[in-house]
Order: sequence, then structure tokens, then C-alpha cells
Amino acid sequence: MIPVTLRRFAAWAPRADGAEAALCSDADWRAWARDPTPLGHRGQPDVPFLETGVRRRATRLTRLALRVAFDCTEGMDRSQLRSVFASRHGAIHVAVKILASIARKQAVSPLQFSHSVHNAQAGLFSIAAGDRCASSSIAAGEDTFGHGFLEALLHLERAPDSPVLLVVCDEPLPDNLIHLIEEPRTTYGAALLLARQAPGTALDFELESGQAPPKQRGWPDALEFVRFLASDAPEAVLESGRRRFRWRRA
Amino acid sequence: MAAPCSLAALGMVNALGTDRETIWRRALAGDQSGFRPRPELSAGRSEPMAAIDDDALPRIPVALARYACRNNAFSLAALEPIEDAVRDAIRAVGAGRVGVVMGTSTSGSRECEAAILHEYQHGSLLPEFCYEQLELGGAAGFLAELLDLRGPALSISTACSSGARALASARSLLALGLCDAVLAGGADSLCGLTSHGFASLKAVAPGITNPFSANREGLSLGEGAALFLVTRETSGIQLLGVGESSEAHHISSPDPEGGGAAASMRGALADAGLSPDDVTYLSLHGTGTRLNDSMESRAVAAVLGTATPCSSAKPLVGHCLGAAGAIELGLCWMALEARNGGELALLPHVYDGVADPELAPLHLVSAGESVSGDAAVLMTNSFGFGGNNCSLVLGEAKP
Repeated sequence: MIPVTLRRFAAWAPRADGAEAALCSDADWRAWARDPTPLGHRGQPDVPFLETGVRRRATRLTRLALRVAFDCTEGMDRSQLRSVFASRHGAIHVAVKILASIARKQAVSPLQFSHSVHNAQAGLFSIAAGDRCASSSIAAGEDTFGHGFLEALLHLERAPDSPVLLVVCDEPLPDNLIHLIEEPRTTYGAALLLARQAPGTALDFELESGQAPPKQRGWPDALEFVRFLASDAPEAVLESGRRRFRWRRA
Repeated sequence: MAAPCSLAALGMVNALGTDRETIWRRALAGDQSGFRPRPELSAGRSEPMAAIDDDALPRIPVALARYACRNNAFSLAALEPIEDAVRDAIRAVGAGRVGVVMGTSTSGSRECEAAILHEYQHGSLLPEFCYEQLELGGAAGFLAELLDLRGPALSISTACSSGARALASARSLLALGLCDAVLAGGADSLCGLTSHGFASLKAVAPGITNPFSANREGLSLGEGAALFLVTRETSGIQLLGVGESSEAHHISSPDPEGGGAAASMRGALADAGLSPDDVTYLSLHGTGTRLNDSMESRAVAAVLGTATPCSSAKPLVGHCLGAAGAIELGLCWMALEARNGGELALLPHVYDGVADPELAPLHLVSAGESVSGDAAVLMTNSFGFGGNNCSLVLGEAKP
């Protein structure tokens, strides 16, 4: 059991019907947590804090990551934050475009290649925030959210005195790959500001061997965790076939 | 000071070989024969890449066909020589207490490329293509499935620092008490995405990479894997320090002054509780691009001075990207393991010998050079595309 404090969170996801404004504020998420329904996959968040040139080139994944990262750290000195970026699919849309160019024997764009690396969002955040602190970018299949949280704890282990920003985001796979796996078709970003000791929500984290098959929900793990935070639930459990992540309010 | 972290066993595969003895022998000899043109990956261009022979690779078990990709075949090859030690560790501590952390930037991009080419030519993806082959998390997921592990299994993908970061996370998993043993390293395979991508950035050398030379023209790609069994043993070769930083400069180029690189090296020394004078040898990131070598020479001179012997492994094994940090740490591990009678043979810096007067005058290791190995402390630098840096320090446990 590892104690950790959640200082703040932020999340963004479109509603399923796509008609109304996306879920974004704490109040939106508290309302959703009372009566959770599957979320949508269309649209992308505004990122008015980015310079025009950067904003124009930003992919949707970058917009998701940077929007929740900035929302979660509103009013803070962002240049002193360590960060973990977790995404199962990362820049798969960019990578598939590059591979389609290669199949057609067309030139690969250097800009596209720069945005195809898994740590592109981390790099763009560090530039936008003027942040030279440690950062890692991870992926772990169906268990990406739990392992992203874990990686943030590993950064806290190395230096317990300063907080770590965890950013989790994903979008549905490109059309030609989407049939390969089963998962909720959701476009989303979520950010958690974690610290060893600070004012905020005190949690106990546990990682155990798993037995049960993963529970099917209509929304991604990161938003199941947001549902826990935005509700009065005593614990959140995310389970895959191999392991179980558990968070309890301390 | 961090808790003890033993690099108890190492398996490696790259263009120099598939076993440690061969790799270290050929590395010390400065053998560059693993480089050859791979026109099928580079739209017919002829730049050499440090490739692994297909027939040297083990087959992925049929039951794990959904993970069958070249990247995972490298991991399997690197696991083979240490599999007994790994299985002993699993038996001793339990499958729920063993973690996997893998650095990768490509995972199965090569297989996805074939699948998408098939789609372009025939209207559908290759039938055997599975998402687990492609996804980055599959690099760790494959080993967890293969060994039936129930601890954490994650892939780290911070471009060229991924493999080094995997070791940092492994150490923290042990220190936090979440694992009693971790299989950690990196694997990356040559593919069209990286070959065309780095070419589009005009970062690829027309010949074999020539780091720190006045004539350097860019990097040469390589491929391979290195896997460490990481435990809390207090004896043997230890991971002594981890340093990390971000550039906050530009998405595809580092701070030309080397500020991020220097911060990473200083952080590793501070974490290890060591001073610059303690460093016996530095494994340079040394990609052979104009900018990397220029900024790295400044950073090294600022942190360690110019007397510390250093070399780049990239003229021998190529730039193995997501696996580079683990492979280069592994070469340092081999140097310590092969220490004979107190003398530590150093990896030679293989280049055309034309020092660049624009760079800080580093002590680049000559063929056959060795130093006193008593209390040897070795450092590796890994600087990732996107501005992600990680330096590691290793040495032998003090008796």
C-alpha cells in the first residue's frame, strides 16, 4: 500500500451525442459521476494558451493532453513540474499517415515524423510550460491508466518533495485499425496532480495480482478513476486479467 | 542515497551478435561489419544500418502469435541467456512480485508497415496482423505473457532515452516495494518509419556514423535489445544513480548549449552521491549529428571536464533508438564484468580520427585503451528526440 495525495484533477471528453458542450468542469464531471453514461469521440478541446503556430500544428492528441495539463495546473508555476504522459495508442493517427505515405512511395514530412513519437505531447508541454524537469511517456495496453499512475508514483519515489503531473489521453484508433481491438470509442484527456504529502485527497494505492477478467465499461479507465474522484465512492478498482489496481480514500 | 539496485544478469542482441561474449569481443575490436545498406527500408538509399541477421532470431511461440513481431523476437533472444536466472527469481518471489519495464520507440511498427502496404495493394490489412504486435505496451506485455507474470508491465517510450528510463523505473519499483525483481531493458527494430523519418530530418549519415569528427554527417540506425534482471541484491554490478531532465527547447533538436544534457549528468552524480572525479568512463550519446555532438561535448566538458575517457557505441551497434540506453548501459556492464586483473578495457571510439576543433576536446577512447578498474564508476548518456534526457551511473558494490 502506497500513500499518495491527489491535489487536483482535470478532464475533458465530448458527450456521446456530440451536440452539447464537452464535459470539462468539475461540476460537469460530478454530474456525470452521479449518472455515468458512455461518452463521445468527436470534437477536440480549445487550447488558447498555445502560441498560434504551435496551436495550428497541434494534433487532437496534443490538444487533449495540453488542455487537461494546463487546466489541472491553473495558476501554478508549471516550469517546476515533473510529468508522466500515458497513452495506449499515442500518436497512432500520425504514424498510420506516415506508413500510408511510405506504402504510396511518397515523401515523409519531417513535421509529421516529429509529432509521431510517443513523447511528442511531453515535449510540447515542456516547451509550452518552459519546464525542464524529468518527464516520461508510457504505454501499457489495456492497463495504461493504472501503469501511468504507477509511473507517477515511481517519480515521487525518486524525489518525494515535489509534485508530479500525470496526463492520460487517447482517441479511438484510425478507421483501418479500429476493428482490431475492443474498447470504448472515446476521445478524452485527464490530468492528475499527485504529491507524496500535500493538502488534497489522501489515497492509498495498491497493486495486486489479478484473477478476474477486465470489467467492461462504456468509458476508459482514466474516466472511471475520474468518476471515483468526482463521487463519494470509497474506492476505485481497475482490474485486467493479470493485475488489479486499487485506490482507497485514506 | 537510493536503495541498492543490482543489475544481476544481462542478455543482449544487436548487430555485433546474439551473445555477450561475441558482442563484447567484437565491440573491443571496433568491428563495424554489422553495418550494411537496407534499401528496402530506405526507399533504395544506400546508407548503412546496423542490422541483425534474421536467421539469428528465435521464433515467437505460436500461442503468443498476437505478439509476433521482430521487436519481440529481439526481446526473446535477449531473454534466452538469462531465462534460467529470471525463472529462478520468479519462483523465489512469486509471479505477482516480478515486474517488466521495456523501453521501445518502434515496437511492431515494421509489421504495421507491412500490414498497411498490403492494405494499399490488396484492400485489406495482412490477416495475421494483430494490434498487440504494434502497440508500444506490447513490448512489456509480451514478456509478461511469456513468463506468466502478474506484476506491473509497462513500456516507456521517450524516443532515444526510453531504454535508460526503463532502468530508472525498475529501480524505483524495487525501492517502493512493489516488486522484488524486475526485468528491464529496451528493444527496437529497424523500420521504414524511423528510417524515412530521420532521413526527412536530414539526420542520417550517408556512410557509417562518425561521431565527434569534424567530418560527421549524421546518425546510422541500428536495432537490438538488452534485458537486465534487476534485483535488490547488494553485491555485484549496481545501478548507482539516475539523472533526468527535459530540454523545453524544440521538438526535434536539443538546447545547443547542452544545458539539458548537463542537468541530466549532474542529476545522476548527485543521485549516486558521487563527484565528477569519481567517473572512470562515460558512454556518450554520440549520435554523430552536428548538433548532438556539439551540445554533448559542451555538457561533458562542463560537468566532467575533458580528461574522462569516453566513447560512443553508435559506430559499432548503430543508433538503436528506444533500445539504445539499455544496450549502451549493457556494454558498460560487460566492461565491468570482463574486468581482468584490475584493468578495465574500454569500448573504443571508432571514427575517422579527425577531431572537430569546434567541439570541446574530449578524451575519446583509442583502440586497446584500458584504465585501472578499481572502484570503477561508469556513466551513460541518453538524449531523446522530443527533449527527454536520462543519464545512468553504474559500478560495483563496495565490499
